[in-house]
Parts: sequence; C-alpha cells; structure tokens
Amino acid sequence: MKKSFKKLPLFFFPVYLLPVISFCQTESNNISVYQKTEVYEFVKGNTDNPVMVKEKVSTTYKCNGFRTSIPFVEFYDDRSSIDEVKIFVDGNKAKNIIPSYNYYSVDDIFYSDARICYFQLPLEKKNSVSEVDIEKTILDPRYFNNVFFDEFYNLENKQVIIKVPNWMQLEIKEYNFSSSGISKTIQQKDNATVYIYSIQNLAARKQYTNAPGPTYLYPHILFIYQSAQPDGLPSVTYFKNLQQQYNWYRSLVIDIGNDPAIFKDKVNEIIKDKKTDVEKIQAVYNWVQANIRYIAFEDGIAGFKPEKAQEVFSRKYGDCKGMANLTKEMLKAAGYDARLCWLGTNHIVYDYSTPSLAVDNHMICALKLNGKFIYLDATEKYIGYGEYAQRIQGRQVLIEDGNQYILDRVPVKDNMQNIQTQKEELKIENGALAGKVELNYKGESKENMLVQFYSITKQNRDIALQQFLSGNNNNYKIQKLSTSGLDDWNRDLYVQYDLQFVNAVTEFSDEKYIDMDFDKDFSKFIIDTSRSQDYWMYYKYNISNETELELPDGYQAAELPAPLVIKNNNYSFNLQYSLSGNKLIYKKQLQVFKPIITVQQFSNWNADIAKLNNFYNEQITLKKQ
Amino acid sequence: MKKNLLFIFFSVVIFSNVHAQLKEADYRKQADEVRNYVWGWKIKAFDERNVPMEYTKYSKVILAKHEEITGLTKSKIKWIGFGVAAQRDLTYTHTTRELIKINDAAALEEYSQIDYQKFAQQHNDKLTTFLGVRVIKPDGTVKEINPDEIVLTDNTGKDKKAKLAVPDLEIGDMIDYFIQTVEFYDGGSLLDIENFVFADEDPVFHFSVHIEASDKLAIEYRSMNGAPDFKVSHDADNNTVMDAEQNKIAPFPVSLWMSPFRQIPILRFHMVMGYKGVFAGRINARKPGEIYKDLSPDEIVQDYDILLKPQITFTRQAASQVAGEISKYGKVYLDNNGGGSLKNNSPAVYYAARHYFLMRPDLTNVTVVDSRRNNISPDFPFFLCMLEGLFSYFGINSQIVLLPSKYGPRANEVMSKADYGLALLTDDGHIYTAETFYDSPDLIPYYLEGQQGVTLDYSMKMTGAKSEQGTYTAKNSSAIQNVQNEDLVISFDPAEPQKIIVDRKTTLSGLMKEDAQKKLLLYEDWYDEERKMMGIKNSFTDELHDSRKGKKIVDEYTNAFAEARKQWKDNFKQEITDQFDVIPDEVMESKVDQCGIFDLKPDFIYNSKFTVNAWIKKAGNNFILEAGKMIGPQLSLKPEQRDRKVDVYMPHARTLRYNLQIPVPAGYTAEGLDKLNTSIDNAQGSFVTTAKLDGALIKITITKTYKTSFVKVADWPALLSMLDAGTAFGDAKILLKKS
Repeated sequence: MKKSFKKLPLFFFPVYLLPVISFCQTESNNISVYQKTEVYEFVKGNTDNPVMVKEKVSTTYKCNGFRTSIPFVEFYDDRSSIDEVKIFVDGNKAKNIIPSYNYYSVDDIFYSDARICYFQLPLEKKNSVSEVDIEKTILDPRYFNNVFFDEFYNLENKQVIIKVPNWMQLEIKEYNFSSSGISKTIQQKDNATVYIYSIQNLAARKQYTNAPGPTYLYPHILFIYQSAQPDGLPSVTYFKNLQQQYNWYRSLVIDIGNDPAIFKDKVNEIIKDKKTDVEKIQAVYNWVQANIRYIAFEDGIAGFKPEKAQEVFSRKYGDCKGMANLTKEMLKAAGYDARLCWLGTNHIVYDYSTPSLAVDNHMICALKLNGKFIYLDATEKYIGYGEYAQRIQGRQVLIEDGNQYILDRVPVKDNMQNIQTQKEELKIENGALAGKVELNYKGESKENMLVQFYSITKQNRDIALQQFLSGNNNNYKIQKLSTSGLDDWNRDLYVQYDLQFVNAVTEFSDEKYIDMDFDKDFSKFIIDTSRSQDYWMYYKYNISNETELELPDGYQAAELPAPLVIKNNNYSFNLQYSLSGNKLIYKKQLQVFKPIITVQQFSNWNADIAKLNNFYNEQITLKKQ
Repeated sequence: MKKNLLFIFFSVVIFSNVHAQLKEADYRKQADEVRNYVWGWKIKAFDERNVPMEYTKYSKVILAKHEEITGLTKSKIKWIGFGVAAQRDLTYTHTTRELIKINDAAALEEYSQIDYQKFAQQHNDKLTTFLGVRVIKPDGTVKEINPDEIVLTDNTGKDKKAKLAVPDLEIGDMIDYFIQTVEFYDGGSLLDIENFVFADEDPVFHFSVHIEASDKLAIEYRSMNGAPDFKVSHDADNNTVMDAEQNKIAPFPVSLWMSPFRQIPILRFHMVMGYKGVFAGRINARKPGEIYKDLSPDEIVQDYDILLKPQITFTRQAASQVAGEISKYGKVYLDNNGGGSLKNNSPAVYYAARHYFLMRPDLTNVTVVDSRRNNISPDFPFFLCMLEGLFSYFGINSQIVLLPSKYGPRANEVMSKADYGLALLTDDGHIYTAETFYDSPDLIPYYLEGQQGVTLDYSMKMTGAKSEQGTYTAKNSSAIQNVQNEDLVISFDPAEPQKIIVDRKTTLSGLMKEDAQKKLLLYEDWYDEERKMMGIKNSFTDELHDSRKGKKIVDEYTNAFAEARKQWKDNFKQEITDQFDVIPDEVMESKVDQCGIFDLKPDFIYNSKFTVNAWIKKAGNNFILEAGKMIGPQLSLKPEQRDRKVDVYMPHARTLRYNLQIPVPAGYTAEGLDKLNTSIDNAQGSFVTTAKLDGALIKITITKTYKTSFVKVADWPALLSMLDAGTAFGDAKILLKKS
C-alpha cells in the first residue's frame, strides 16, 4: 500500500535547478484580477431539471510585479458541470495547459461530491495578462444560492450579470455592500430582467483564524427563488416563504424509512434503570454522543436528507443529519416528543427570514418536555444535557411540527455555563509551594478538556494530563492525581492533586519572592491590530481561581500589588490580593460575556491584556519580621 | 505454497491484460476470492478472543499480525522497438492482516476509516488493492463489512481511490482487517525494500511474516537488532518459502534521540528480479532463486558503482565543456582570495562550480528568490559527479564516498543504494557534499558524521569509467566546531519594565548553521555576498540594466526581492519566537551580516533588535530578573524520557554559548549573582555559568556543551546531569533592589 508505485529511475539526468516562482497570493499586489465578468443566466431546462443556470465566467489576471504562476481552481459537483475551459496566456490560447479534474478532499468531511478543476496558470512577465474562460451548468437553482464579489487577489474591475427571464421569479438580497464601491443597474432586455453589478477596486479576500464566516464579511448577493414557469415545462415552486422551504425539507424526511424496531431493545436497555424523564432523555442522548461517530457526508441530495435511523444505529456512524434523526427516533421509541430541527450555525449570517438552502448547515434534535424544547446536538460529543455550544446558541431553529413548522431559537447561555475554577491551598516548604489543588470544569471548558483527553491513547493519558496541568514544567510535581466526571459529561469535570512546586519561591537575603499565578490565563492573547476581521473566541470564558497561601512563621507580606479591575459590556478582569490572618489570598476572575472582539475593540483589548500582564508580572514579597 | 502461487497466478490472468482497465465485475469476483483466501489463513493467533486484563491499559492490543508477500514471474517475448526480447512480467502481492482489540477512542478513530488506492495504472503497470474488514463484537459475533459500504473518491479509468468508514465499530470490539495490494509490472521492476518492524507502542501478541517467491526471483534479507530470522525452505517446484514469527512482543515506546534502524528489531526484506544471462556480471545481477541472507555491503557498493559509472563517463565529458567557464570563475575567486592555482585548490573549483551551476541568477527568467530558495537541494548525484569531473579536469584527484546515515542501517548492514549518502573526497584533503546551495567544503551533514564508508576512485578507460574501492571514515565534528554564540544586551527602563529591549548578535558555526540559514537567508543577500567573494564586480542587475529586455528582468527581480524581504521579516520574528519562546512586541532591526557560505567566512552571523514583555517581575519597588529564561527554554525531559534503556543518537556535538549583559538601572543594586555561578562538567557534556557585576553591568555567561553525538546508555546519567543543570538554570533569578 505504501509502496511508491513507480519504477525507480535507472540513470540520473542533469537538471538545472532553478524553478520559476509559483505560490499562492500573499499580501502583495503582484497578481490582480484585472477584469472579470460573471454572467449567470437562468434558462429553460428539461423535465428533470426544468430550470438550469448557465454560468459564463471570464477572468483576466494581471502580473504587476514579477512573473509567476498561480493555481486556478473551479469547483463543481454532482449538480453542476464544467462545460468548457479556455485558457489564454498573453493573448495566446494555452493548448499545453491541461486542467485536471479531481475529487476535492475537505478536512473533516468523509465524502462529498465536490470536485475541482485545477491547473497552474502562468503569468509570463510583468504587465502580462492571462485569461481563463469557464462555462458551467448548474442543474437546479435551488443549489445555487449566492455569488460573492470579492476575489483572492485584489480586484480591479468586475461585472456580475444576472439574467432572469420573465418566467422566473426570484429576489436578490445584497450583503456587505457598504463601502465596497459596488454599483447596480437593472435593465429589461429580451423578456428578461438583467441585473448588472459593477465592482471596482475591491481588496483581496483575507483569511484569518477565529474569524466570522464569509457571509458576514464579503460583499455578495443571495438568491431567494420563488417560482418558475419555463415554456412547455411544468411550473416549479421554490421557497417563496419559509413554509415552502420547510415543505421541501419535510418531503425529504417524511419518507426516510426509519424502523425503530431495530433499536427499540437498545433504547429499553439504556433507560431501564432511569427513573425520571430527564434521566431517560439524558441517557439516550449520551448514548448517541458516545457511540455514534461523526462522519460527514455531503453527497447530492444525501447532503440534505438524513440517513435512516436504523442505518446510523447499526453502522455506529453518521453525519449531523443522521445523528439528529437517530436521537429523535430513539427518544420517540422511549416515548418522548422528539423532532428534527434545521439550523444555521453562527458561521452563517443568514436566518430563516431569507428562505434558501444557504440559510442552514446543521441538523439537531429538539425534545419537547413539559411544553418546552430542549435541543440535543449529538455531534458535540462531550457537552452535557442542557448545555449548548457557542456555535448554535441564539441561532434560529426550524423545528418539524407535522405539516407546519415551529421557528424557535436555541437559548443563549451566559458564561456561567462554561465556568472553570481552580482552588489552591498552599504553603511554603523548602523553597517549594506545596499543597492541594482542585480544578472544576463545566460546559464548553469541560468539553474542550474532554475532547483533548480522549484524543490521547489510553496509556499516555495520565502523563498527558499531568503535562497539561504542569504546563510541561518539571518543577511542578503532581501527586495523588484524581479525577471525576471524565466518563459522564453531564457532571462537572473535577481534577484534584497534591502539588509540590519546586523552586517557586525565590529567596534573597531575608526576603521570599513568590509568583502566585502559574497559569497566567490570557497573557498571550494579544490580537494583531493589522487584522481586519473581528476575533471570535471559541466560547464565553469564565475563569475563576482562588489561591490561599499560608505565610511561613516569622514572615509577613510586604505591600500587596494593587488590584486589577476591568469591566465593560464584553469582558471583565478582576484580580486581587488580600490578607486574612496568616493567609495570603489571591483571587482571579476572567470573564468573557460576549465572545467577539470587534476590530474597533482590538486596541482596548490589547491594552487590557497589557494591564493583565503587568499584574501577572508583580510578585509577592514576604519579609522576615 | 503451491496454493498461494496458483492463487496469484489466477490474479495475474485477470489483471495482467495490459489493455484492460479495471472491470468492476471482475474486481468484485476477485475480491471475493481474496477474502475467502485471507480469511482462510490457518493462523491460530487470529482466533484469539481473550485479552488479559493487564492489557486494557493500552489504547489497543495487536492480537495478531501477519504479512504475506508473494512474487510471481511470467516469461514472455516482447517487441521493444528494434526487435524482440525475452522479458518477465512480475506480480508482487503484499497482504497485511491484523486483529486488533480497540480499547479507547484514539484507537477507534485510528481504525474507523480506511483510505486506499483501489486501482492505479501507469503505462502497462497496475496496482489493485483488495480490502477485507470484520468487526468482532465482545459476544463473539462477527460482522463482515459489505463491499458496498466502500465509496470511491476518484474514479477514472486509471485512478480509483476508495474510502471505507468501518461500520458498527465500537470501543471494546476487535477489528480483523486485511489490505492486499497486487502490483503487476509489465516486464518486471525494481521493488522497494520491506521493513517488518517487530515492535510497536502497543503490545503485540503475534507477528508473523510469510514469503513465497518463484524460482526466478532472488531474495535479500537481514534480521537486525534482535528481530527473528526467517526459516527458509523450498517447495517441490523449487520456489522459495520463508517464514518468521515472534510472539508476545512487549510495547516499545520510541524515545528521544533514537536511531530506529540500529535500535528497533527490524527484519528487512527485498525481492529482486533474478537474472543469470550474459550481462549478469555487468549489472551485478542477483541469481534467480538465490537467497542472499545478510548480503555483503560490497554488493550494494557494486550496485552503486554500476549506477555511477555512466554518470561519471558523462560528467567527465560534460566537465571539459564547461571547464573554461569554471576556470574563469575559479581564477577570479583565487585572485580575490590570496591567489594560487586551481590545481591545488579544490575549494576554488568547488566555489566556481557552485556559482556556475547553482548560484548565478537566471538572466532570462525570474526564479524563486524567497526563503523557499533555501530549501532546494542541488541535484546531488549529478552535481557531485560533475564536480568529480571538474576536479579531474583541473588535476585534482577525487573519490566518490558512499556513507551510511547514522539514522539508517549500520555500515555492515546496508541493503540498498538508498542507505547511502554521497560525498566527494579530494586528494588535497577536503570533502564535499551537496545538501544545500550554501554548503562549504568539509562540512558534511550530521547524519553522515562518524560513519564508515566506501570510496570509489574513478578513472577513464577506453570502455568508460573504471573504479577502485577504498575505505573512509567520516570524522565527527567537535563541540568547538559547532557553536551557537549569542551576544545579548538586555536593557529596560524601570519606569517601563514591560518593554525589554534585546540587542542580539548571533554567530553560528559548523553544523549549527543550516537550520537558521534556511530560515533567515535571502537570495538577494547571499547572491551579493557570493558574487563579491567570487570577485564578480558587477551584479547581474548592473549587467542587465543596459539592455531593454534586461531592464525588464531587473525590474521584475527588484519587485520579487521586495516581496521576498517582506516575508523574510516575518521569518526573523518567528526565529526570535522559536529561540526565546516569547513573541516579540516589535522587531526594530534585523540584518544578516555574513551568510556563512564560504570557508574563508565560515560563520553565519546575524543581528536583531527587538522588544519583549517578559523576564522581569516587579516586586514592590524591586525587580526580579528571570535570567534563566533570557536564553530561551532549555531542553526539559519528560518523566518517561529520563529512565533510558537505549543508547543516545544525537545529531552532533555542539556548544551553546550565551553572553548576557544587563545594565543595572540607576538607583538599583543587583543581588543573587553568586547563585548563578554553576558548573557541571563530565565526559558527555558540561553546563557552566558565571555571573559577575562589572561596574553597572551584570555579565552572565552560560555555556552548554554536548561533547559528543553518541552516548552509551551507561553514560546517560552523566548527560542527564548536564541536561538537568540546564533545566535548573531556567529558574535562575537576580534581584534588582531599589537602593
């Protein structure tokens, strides 16, 4: 399998080793999109696909600095085809460039129908241009939802032309147009409405980590299809409103073919010792979390239609749709009112006010108990019952309700859901800080810990946990380590140990100097102010530490550092020292209320982190009395 | 035996039709047969269902592992363009089957998906893969995976890639799976060496290997580091049958500084097309049906020699054609660097050749000028052979040296040409390699140091190149030759203790240079230094500026240089972060003073000035300086790494030297310097620190020396004591007390 499947060369051939530059765009303006025209025309199709979209895109790249070659990629899938690719280099047809057509592998997706057409496009010298003309057909407009106006290179001129025949009814919604230099004209021509968007001088798309999804950031249009009546073909109704979108979803799920008999015994076994409704629901939910592996499929209609519950049950894997469906069916088998839900995670700016397949990207299960919905997302493997991941909090959910639908929102949890606490009771022994440490994790802080913990092989977990707790500091010696909650994420995760922190106390003459904060949370959380996109934290942090240090006999604490108190609507830092009898008490609370730091807040955030670091850099001095 | 080869024979019938692409129906039929065959193996270990309790602490337990390799040849007469020739097709089948108990989520994740190349075709050669998976539940129920569960990702006529998400696999289950690859080579092929490793991080109850090879194939093998030996037999048709096995293999965690080929039990195996025709001697062919146990390294040297001879014959001729240009560059270099003749100066020839082939810019195109340029290796066999030809042209005798890597098999255990690295040894006492663009004479890669090699001294005869063998042992460089010297002036204003200014000068010598050169050199810089050292007055931009076409190239190069320098600044920031484990707030200056690409200017020297918010703690009116952290993190061993049971293979001996100067701010006094004077010095290494106050300047020197690259496990405690001293210094602190 791992053998390199090729014959070894028998002779060496001299090679002159000076490769020509070839790399993706950096921040430079070496390559720009000089001119781009995108034409999307809705055309009459056939009985199977009454309306199709013909896409013609012509892109001219310009070399502004030095010759290079760039990767050109065009995506397609089972519902679209690339009909023609023409490549011109410096005005001449490039017959020697042969596009390759391959499966497109996406991280975290086991299988999708996404394919790419790929080739390297040379730009032969400064001021030269290369052009790529692509023609595509999209078989069903339902899957063609938005057109982004920006490019991965700086854009000089672009026209996006949408030709909508009079027999087609759609709405176009515009996003992120402010200050983008985009103009629009609408014409009536040849029994069609022609929308022409003209874009000039748009900066290249930049990708940052922890950034909002592209629909929040870049100028684009969203199509909301209502209906079509192509000549000689049956009329088509799309999503005039949310009810129609729901109807389509409902049509996909109503005949899945679930067979609860296959897992009924298992459900009974899971809940047999559980007394209350909540215990039973938790047990079923946790069983799916623990036993069904998340494996993502995005394959044609299967990208929207859940797999049969019994298939997911027997295979022990599924995507979000399959896991939601199994959760629902198992809970129904246990006698509960469980429903499927569709939702868009916070990666998507849209909500269900714009009915479209672009609105949602996730499915979960809603469980109605005592008249209230509780949402169960089994793809979050280690989150507890009633706890919600940041990515779905506050998001609209479309809940099935027979022929109707219910539109609700996943509750927004405050940062108390995710509180992590640390309590230390320490004293000084032979230059070391010694004592007991207790840690407690809840919500997403617990989930984060458990995801890492269970990704480690069994024989290495104890060592890895110790390394995590000690920050890889060999002076931080842990003994009597005990944990609870590792196997039951409905409970808090507790970690307890005895600590011997060698060399933690520095002595000069009659004075002892102590660094009371080993973790220094957030100390490296400086945001690059050149970043142009908001910073999205993974969740709302809530870190609360308390350390009690018993002062050694004959010593007293010198002047204590002034407390640090920062509080605003988004976060608060509260760190302070105090004395209580012969104990020095250090309390730290770092809270994030809104896990988004906007670009405008970067400077203030960094200034506050600097203050936090200044506080961390203050040591406690114990003086001999 | 007969059964296996017959089985493979039928595979060949199906898959050797060179014009046929994979037909799904044929594939399915064959896959069923393969599954029946593999599941029918009579290996008792695969029936094991009990795992003792003590093994539940491991992520997984390998209850049984069996590898089977079969080689089958088939003679044919083939039209080869100018006539017919007898050839042998080769079908090489490798089956790996494992029975594994899944004990945790990490193992479940590892075995839950299988990706494989279902079919591939290059010309008439083909690869076909068959897969079988069974899940065994704790109650003994066996569930075999339906082939329809497999999805194809690529599905063209000549390329089919497949994926399987293993259904119904849970923690506590066993997975019994196999992968069989059938490689068909039209007219035969060279094959890769198989390395059967009798060690794993998790326990292995049973591991066996079974080989069957037709009598037209030769076998080479070697058992290394305590791996079991093959039991060899022959069947009635004189085909070769080989078996090896071992039971109860204890977990073997891989640790720091190991040399797997010299420390882990490995059974190396190689199947070779046998040949005994009239050219057998000329190509050093292995005899059909012959088994070469512990093949002499001389045979591999001879193989290499046969490979190099035509190369040398070609490059000797090619060298004479470029000798004029090389001579021109070489003489100018000598004129600028003390004179002399090329005949007595292999470095001058080397530098001239390096300039001509590798360094000089392409004046007709714009080539890579950013840091990726530093990672390109010269085409080393060609370049060294060309160098050999040039040395010969200029009257300097040289010999090709074949050196094993110390992270590969020992000199007397090599089995393949790939086990050797290549160098060139000259009679004027220098050795050359071709690892990077900026190699200097006598600086050989760390992995070749101390290794016993073979020399091949070539001379040209009427029939082509002839060689004479000799021996050579590469030297180990010393800790004095490989030095990282950091001169650091660290200052701060007590009113602004969060802004520490670091003025840094780094000097790297010997083998300490390469990594930093790859990160921090820029073509624009080293082109200029190289050109000046070579005595070339005008840069290529000066030369091109006069022509219209040239101006355009220069313009593009200028733009490319500017772009590369932008990236380079980020590289400098990253290098500071890597060295000191702090992210600098601002890098105010960064500059390469000397590229370290000539033996006359051997050191790589660079400067930087940056600010960090680190290393200084406020304690009331006083400051605590974390002096131990100012030199960056020291290697801190994990608890499981301390109890070492195997010898230590470090890259090379080295010295890390830090000279810290810290001005004491006015109004403050320094305390605690006496505690910073430490010394650990033993045969394996030393860690010596001194600290003193010189006027208002704290001066601290830290010298950490790894005296040798190889340490016997018995001497590990000595090395450990040095490492521990370094780790302990990380806590060193100085008090700046307000007067």
